[in-house]
Amino acid sequence: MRWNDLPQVRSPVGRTLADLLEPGPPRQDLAGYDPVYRDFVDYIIRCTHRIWEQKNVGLCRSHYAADCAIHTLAGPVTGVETVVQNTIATLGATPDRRLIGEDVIWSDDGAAGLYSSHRIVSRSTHMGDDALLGAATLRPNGVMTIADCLCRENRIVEEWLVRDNLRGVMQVGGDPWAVARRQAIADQTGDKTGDLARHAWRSDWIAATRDAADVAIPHGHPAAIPAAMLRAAWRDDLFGDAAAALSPACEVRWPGNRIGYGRGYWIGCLTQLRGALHDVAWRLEHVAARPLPGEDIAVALRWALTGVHGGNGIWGDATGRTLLVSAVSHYRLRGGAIMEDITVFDELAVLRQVCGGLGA
Amino acid sequence: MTAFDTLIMLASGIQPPCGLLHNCRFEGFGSESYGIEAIVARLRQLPFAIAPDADVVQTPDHIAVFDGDRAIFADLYDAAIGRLWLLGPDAGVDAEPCLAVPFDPDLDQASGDGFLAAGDHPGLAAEAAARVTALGRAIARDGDGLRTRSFAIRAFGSAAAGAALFAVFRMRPENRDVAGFTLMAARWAGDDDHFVRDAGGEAMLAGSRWTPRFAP
Repeated sequence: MRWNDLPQVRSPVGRTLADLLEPGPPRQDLAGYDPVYRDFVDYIIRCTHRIWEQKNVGLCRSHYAADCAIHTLAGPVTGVETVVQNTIATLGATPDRRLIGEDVIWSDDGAAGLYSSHRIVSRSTHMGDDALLGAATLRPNGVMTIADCLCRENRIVEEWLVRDNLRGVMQVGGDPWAVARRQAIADQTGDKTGDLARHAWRSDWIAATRDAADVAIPHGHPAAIPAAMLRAAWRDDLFGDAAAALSPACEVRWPGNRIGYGRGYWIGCLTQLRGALHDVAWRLEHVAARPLPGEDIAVALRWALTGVHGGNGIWGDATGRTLLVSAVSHYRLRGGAIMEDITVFDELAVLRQVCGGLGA
Repeated sequence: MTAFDTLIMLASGIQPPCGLLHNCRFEGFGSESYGIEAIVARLRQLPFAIAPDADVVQTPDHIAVFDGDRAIFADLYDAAIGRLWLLGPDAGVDAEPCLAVPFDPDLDQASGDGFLAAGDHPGLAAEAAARVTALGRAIARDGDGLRTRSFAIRAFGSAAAGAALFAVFRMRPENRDVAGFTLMAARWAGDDDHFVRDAGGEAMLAGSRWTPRFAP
């Protein structure tokens, strides 16, 4: 399937919630899926709504594979029962959570399944104690999350989850370094008595980022534009050439409430990280694109970055540790230029690595 | 309901029965809010009644309302609001912590005053692009900062009348650890130009520290 086939399967951009959730006949052949879902975008939006906002968490059991693998920068989550437990725990701390779906950028990945890159603003009140956010503050909390899900026959079989946990901690008045250090100490304590192989996921991911090839981009696919931009910046350090793909007034949103405009600001976001990382490797892991209202195009790129923490800067004094960043970027293209870049990664998990956690 | 009707209710701090998308993003008072309930709650902090004679500029995809020292911009999808900006007085909103990004707004030592790509704005008539460029340049050169740059993020209208929303980067000379983005709204009609400042955003910026690091 080409990226712009099935135009009747529309992005949630510009649509009301009533329109998104309106029951009706199918708009897409979804063999093996619950017939309540009219198309793949509906599957993603509606099942999220049912699980989180309608609090029917048990639906995870019919929407995740029993042995599903969820990849996060804080470590893997395996199995549907862990997903159920974690969802309930999250609702226990932030029960009024609204998962405001901004976009669903999806692709048909053939035999592998349907792949969704779902951008969500999770808005909630910090009403209960939480392992990450700490003791309840009753402060509002709203962070960007992108969930990349590979789905087959009504079930998520693999997921790559990136959430701006750093911004969440800052919003409730927390100290990111204190949280990261506490997590790292717990990791290191476990390392002394536990199985160090439990960190193999991170070393495997780093090795793949250094050695594996980029995912192939189909000819004529709009993802080629931002992919070339990131490749030029991360691999070749040609930041100026890379930024030429952006509109001169491009809107840039990066983790930690970094919000700015223009090519220079975008370069600043990258060099803030690149200055801290030496011997860098970058890999493109997945691409998807879908039409947006008007002539705009939404593109999703999942990518990973690794390097040695060799420079002082945003992540404190250099530690010499090898760090891993897992990110998803959503772009809005207009006339071939990038109008918006929304990039999400878990920078709190980066700090945890800086502090020696996660096996770093 | 028209988009203007929706804006009248929102400006008054009243939740409209329709016309505001559930995933709308609002930027105003130097902060941002997501979703209907949070947006209405934020607007209730400094409600105002839009005057009957307020200036309105509208295309199928955008609306801008200028009313004294306030301006509202919105992106429209079939008349429903998908993004919203309010420029006006300070509402005393607490600043959300953020990571500052060191950056050079000028590439190639070009020292550009304003940044506009006319192709970004399908609702802007080609003959109006020079007017928007001039407005952006005026914002940059009349700025009270050491280094002020304007970025045209929304622009629509004709050569005769239209509106533009600018993101404005400032580094303040009197307080060198203050730098960041605010907004500026501009409207043109005939030979007249009119600007509305983002006083709320500017107040928040003035009270913010430049912190390109994580607070210890």
